[in-house]
Amino acid sequence: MNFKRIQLIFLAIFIAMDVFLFWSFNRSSVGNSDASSSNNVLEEMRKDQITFTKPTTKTHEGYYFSGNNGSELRQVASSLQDQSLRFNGTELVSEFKKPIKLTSGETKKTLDKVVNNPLVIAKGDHYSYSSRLSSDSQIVYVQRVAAGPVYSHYGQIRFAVNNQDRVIGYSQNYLENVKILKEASKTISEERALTWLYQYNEIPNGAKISWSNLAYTRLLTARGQYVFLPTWVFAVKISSSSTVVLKRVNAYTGEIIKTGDGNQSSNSNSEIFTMT
Amino acid sequence: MKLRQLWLPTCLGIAVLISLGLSGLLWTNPAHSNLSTRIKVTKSTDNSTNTTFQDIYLPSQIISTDKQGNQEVLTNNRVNVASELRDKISKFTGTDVQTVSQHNSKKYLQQLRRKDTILLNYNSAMTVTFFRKAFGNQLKIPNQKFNRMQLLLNDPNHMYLLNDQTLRVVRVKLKNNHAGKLRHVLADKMIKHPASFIMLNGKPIISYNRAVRVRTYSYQLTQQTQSYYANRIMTTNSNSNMQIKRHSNRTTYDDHGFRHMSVNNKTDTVTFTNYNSTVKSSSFLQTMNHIYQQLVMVGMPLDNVRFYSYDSGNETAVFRTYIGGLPVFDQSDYGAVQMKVLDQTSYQMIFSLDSLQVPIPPVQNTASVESTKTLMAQLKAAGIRRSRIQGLQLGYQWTRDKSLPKVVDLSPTWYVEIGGQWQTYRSLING
Repeated sequence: MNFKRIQLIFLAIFIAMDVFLFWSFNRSSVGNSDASSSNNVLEEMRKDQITFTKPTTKTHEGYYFSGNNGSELRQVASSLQDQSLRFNGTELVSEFKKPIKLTSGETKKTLDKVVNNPLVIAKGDHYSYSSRLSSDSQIVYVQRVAAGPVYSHYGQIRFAVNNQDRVIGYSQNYLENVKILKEASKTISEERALTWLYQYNEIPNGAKISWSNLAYTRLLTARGQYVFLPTWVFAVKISSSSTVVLKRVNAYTGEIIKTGDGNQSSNSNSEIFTMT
Repeated sequence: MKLRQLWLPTCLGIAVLISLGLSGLLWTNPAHSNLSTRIKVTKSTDNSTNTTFQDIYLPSQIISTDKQGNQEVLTNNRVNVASELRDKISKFTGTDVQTVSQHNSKKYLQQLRRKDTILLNYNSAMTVTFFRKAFGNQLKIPNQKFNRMQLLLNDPNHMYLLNDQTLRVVRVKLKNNHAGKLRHVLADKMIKHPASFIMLNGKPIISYNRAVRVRTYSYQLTQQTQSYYANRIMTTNSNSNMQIKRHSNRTTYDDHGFRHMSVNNKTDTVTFTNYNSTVKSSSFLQTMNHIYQQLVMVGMPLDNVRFYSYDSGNETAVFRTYIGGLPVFDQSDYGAVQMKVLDQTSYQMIFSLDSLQVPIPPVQNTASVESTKTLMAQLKAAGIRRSRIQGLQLGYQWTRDKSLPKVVDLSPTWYVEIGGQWQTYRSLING
């Protein structure tokens, strides 16, 4: 009888030990199953309370291209109807004579019709709706060049929305003389771009990556032409405030592109931007 | 009755065994030790480059021959034709080989001019094992050297391997090849320059039948700092004690061990010697793989850099910047990177701090280049004998822009090889 009791106690102890060993084994093997370095970085980011959806590891293709804002908009602007327009340099600024009413959920549908009407918007077929760049007060259509969207005001239409949900007018820039400067080349993956952004201390603790996208950004201006390249754009929302900051990573080299003062600086290669 | 007595010791036994097994697993796996639970991430991710072995060893030139026998050199503004073709060529397997002809220049030229084919060319001889790796292919044939591959658009069951040195033509029997995929690549909008093969001093060269207009390029000069390379390649784990000496026109770095680096401050050229880098075997594939790994280790930008030629005599490989399908000359005396294998354990690498990464709009879109016939006539008029010419190559000349700082203009021109040196034909005519 006594021996049976001892056996029972031993059994209980060993089962407890098995559970503990299994738990610790499981925990450490989960931590080590992701052996690659970028996964470690992602894990560190999670430890810093940065929220993000798992980035893709796929590489894409993109181009270097050049273009400028020229006189093409001015040439076709005279045929536009139902608006009073003027030019601010090469930028077309227009006010609708009859504001367009937006109903929630139908924004894209309503404005797609407007943008695709050549009597209302010039060159509208080159632009597409961007829900990511749009807000309550501004709806953004981005020009699509070389199979990608242009995330720069040099190729966008921005509709102004008043607080009664009516579109009162818009400003438009159009990239013309677009020339591909180099054959398509592979970009880095979203995952690489995100980990680099983190390693350059561009993502504060507790921030949230709302979205990310591969889009064209102006790198420099040379010989009167803007030079664009594919970039990974991350929308970083800082926890304490409601502001969203767009962070751009050169999708070829992984360098961070600072867009603060009109693309004037980059932390790793400042001379890239000093040309005129 | 007996079963009820037995269950307790059995369960105990199983529990003991499980705990033994689990603790054994935990102890023997070094990854579970405390030391590695939190691996500090350093910026080692930087050395991962976008350029793969396959990219850097792409064929340097593509020539198509149509059904009528017209030959054209192919390039494309939007895509890299060579890599597109490479992606389509993988997957086929080759079995039988048969030598068609050897040391017969007439038959060799005939083969080069074969109708309805596509030729992929290298400047130097490759091996079959190398080709298998560079193309991710299953060519199961005896190892041999060749520098051109000819794919037949009307016969997916065969291809030819050609060797300029021995003028050897080898026919390979193929399985699982799809000529349709190749046609698909060729159907894309291409820039085509009419050309033909001629024999020059026993070597086939490509000749442009008439003057052609070739795209010009401008690039922003990206300059890497000396300290970047010094930190990357001169600070190894074993010895962090690096000696730096500054001379009037050069700076030398020495790690008191196996590595030495010298930077010429006038030409911005880096000479890096590594005395502790063992090549496993001296096969062509191993050498090329070793060179590629060393390029990645040094960490220079390899975006546009491609293999140009390999001289097995002095074991020197030359890499050049390729823009729009043509090599860039005059960047320096040696190309973009020159790698010389000194012996089994050491090598010397020469490269520039400058590289071309960001294209900018050129002043002119295209420039005209003389036909090969005109070129040869001009060379003859300048007193350069045909027998002295070792090679002709259309390439880009690297010149610094006069008005913009840090901008390089690339204009197409003919390069002539005389005495192992590539020179522009203009410098030969004027000099």
